[in-house]
Amino acid sequence: MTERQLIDACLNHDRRAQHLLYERYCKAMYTTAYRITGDFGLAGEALQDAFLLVFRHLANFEGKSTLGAWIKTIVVRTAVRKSERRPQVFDLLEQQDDPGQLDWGQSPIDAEYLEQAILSLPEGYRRVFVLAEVEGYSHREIAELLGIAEGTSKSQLWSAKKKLQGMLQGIF
Amino acid sequence: MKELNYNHLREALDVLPEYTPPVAVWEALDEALELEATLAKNLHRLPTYTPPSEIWTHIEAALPQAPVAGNNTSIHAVTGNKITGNRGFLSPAVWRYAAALALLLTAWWIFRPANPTETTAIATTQESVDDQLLGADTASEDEAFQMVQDLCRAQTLVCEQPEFKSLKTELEELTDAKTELREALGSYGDDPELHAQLARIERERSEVLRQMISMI
Repeated sequence: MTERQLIDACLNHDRRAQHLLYERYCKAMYTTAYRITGDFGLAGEALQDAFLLVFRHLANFEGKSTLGAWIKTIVVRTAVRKSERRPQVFDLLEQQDDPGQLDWGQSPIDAEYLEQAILSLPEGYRRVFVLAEVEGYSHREIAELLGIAEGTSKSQLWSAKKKLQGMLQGIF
Repeated sequence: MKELNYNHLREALDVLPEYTPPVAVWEALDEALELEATLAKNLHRLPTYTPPSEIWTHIEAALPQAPVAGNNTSIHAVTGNKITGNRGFLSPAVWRYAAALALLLTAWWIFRPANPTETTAIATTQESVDDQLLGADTASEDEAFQMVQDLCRAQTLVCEQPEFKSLKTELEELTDAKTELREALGSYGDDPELHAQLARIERERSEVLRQMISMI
């Protein structure tokens, strides 16, 4: 079944087609939602809410991006809204005169340790880091998704990376 | 801001683990989609209502009156816009006189003296309640109630809520009252007062049904 045929079947409320669409994207979307919310329960809720929105608004998909990118935007927005309902814990930015530089080390980084370190980041840093470095959004797009200034996105990313580097150095 | 050995971070990011959502997520989504499909199928069966005529009377009374001719205040004076010179074919003063004349002519046409040979009569009619119309309304209400029961079978959680149960009890009481009234109508014939009461009960019943459907 082509993507167009799948979309048309979903628009006709064909449950098998809807399940197929869900199966095709659920793992990647659930993973994204988990990294944004930091909680499996919230990620599940975000995934469910997001796919409901996907099926309700599928007729509005114009094909300007890929279907996956379109779905991901919905998932990201939903996950961000879900995580915003919890009290935010912000880590104070460390004062430093020199922006300095980051060194990710001479050795490869273990992905499992990196995952744990990312999930340990304060929520605001984690969201920006995940959206920028894992999902590949530009700072302009991140600013729009999170309702922040582009400059804030850049500074939050830098702070996230500094914190991440510190955590990884503590591990290795 | 410089990043050294960024490639190590990039390589690790590219192989971060992926997670599979629990089956319960799809099950909940499936149930929600099923409910939405059922609602979409049955929404057109919900009854429609004609508002009482008093509502238009109140709206009409609240609408602004048409401006009276001969007032020196121009729209430009009100808005503060300055008229600078002769911009068009005719000056604004000419347009004002023409508008006033048109308004006077219109007013004369509407309120012109009637033809002496014409006579004005006031007609009155008495409305009687059409039983068939009441019957048709009841049929769509029963369909709506049946729909609520079908939906409850698919989504029992909301139907167990105290508020929903209270609405259901109220609906049953109104249904019983309606039945009694219909029996009374059978005994006392076409009593307009009883018909009016029946219409009131139907309206309340519809409102309760609407609240039940909105909860689902």
